Amino acid sequence: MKTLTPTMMTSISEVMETMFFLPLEEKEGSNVEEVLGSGSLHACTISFTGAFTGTMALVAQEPLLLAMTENFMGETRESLGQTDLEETLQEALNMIAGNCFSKVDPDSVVDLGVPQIENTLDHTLFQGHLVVVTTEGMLAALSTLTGTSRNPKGS
Amino acid sequence: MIMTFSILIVDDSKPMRSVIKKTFRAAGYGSSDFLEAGNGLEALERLQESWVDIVISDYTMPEMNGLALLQAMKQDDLFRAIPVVVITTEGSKQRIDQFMASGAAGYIKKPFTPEQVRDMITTILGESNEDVDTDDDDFDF
Repeated sequence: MKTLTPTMMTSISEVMETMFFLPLEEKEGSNVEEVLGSGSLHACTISFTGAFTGTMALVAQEPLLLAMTENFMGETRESLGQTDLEETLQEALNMIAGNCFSKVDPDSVVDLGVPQIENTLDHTLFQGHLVVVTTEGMLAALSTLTGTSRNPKGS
Repeated sequence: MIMTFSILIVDDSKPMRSVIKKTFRAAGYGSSDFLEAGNGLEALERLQESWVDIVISDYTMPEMNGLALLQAMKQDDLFRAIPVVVITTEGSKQRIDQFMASGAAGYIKKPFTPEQVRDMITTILGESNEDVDTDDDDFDF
């Protein structure tokens, strides 16, 4: 099973800084348990087909998602609803996935599905995968390729 | 006199529509009228109801995506002259060529900066004559 993890990390960094004004922090020893074992979480997946076939997923701690949504929409935290949070997470994953594939192979067409909010995501899937730390909280990211007609750089 | 425009923003994500509106305001088009639609079909309905100067559309949307909207507009005698800018996560050269060949006035890749949006819009609509609170060329959303 191949992954797009190295490129995904670059894409997460670009999306978080450009659209959410949340630069990533270097933090030694961060692991998935730190993300998954702490309070309310929000998860989202996106499937993709075409030159690459598979799934990407994000799990974000609620304080981070609140900060992302606040920064993204330019509205106060008190005015944000559950739908705003979910749509922001969906948009973030959509941008990360699109950005990632355009870096992996700009000549390939990958069709992204509509991002889905997951209420019962199997958190064990995230073991050993990416953890991203910001000043506002952490998120975990996962990419899994089930098929490809290309050779993803950095896999 | 301040020039105002009617701008139709088509995206299934409400947060993204907010971001695009914010970006237009930051770019000096804050006095414009903003219309919104959640997909291509809704956008065609908005176009039947009101004249717009420019359409800013996402690509991936339910019901009717941005490419289908663009193609429908270009086949319509009334709508074909309205410039359409596609804002998309789709970064492949083939897809971008498809947008441009279908008549898009331009495309902006997500994630985008306000400067990228401003540059694209001023190329199409012309420089805004609104006062903009910016520090040289750098401004935030």
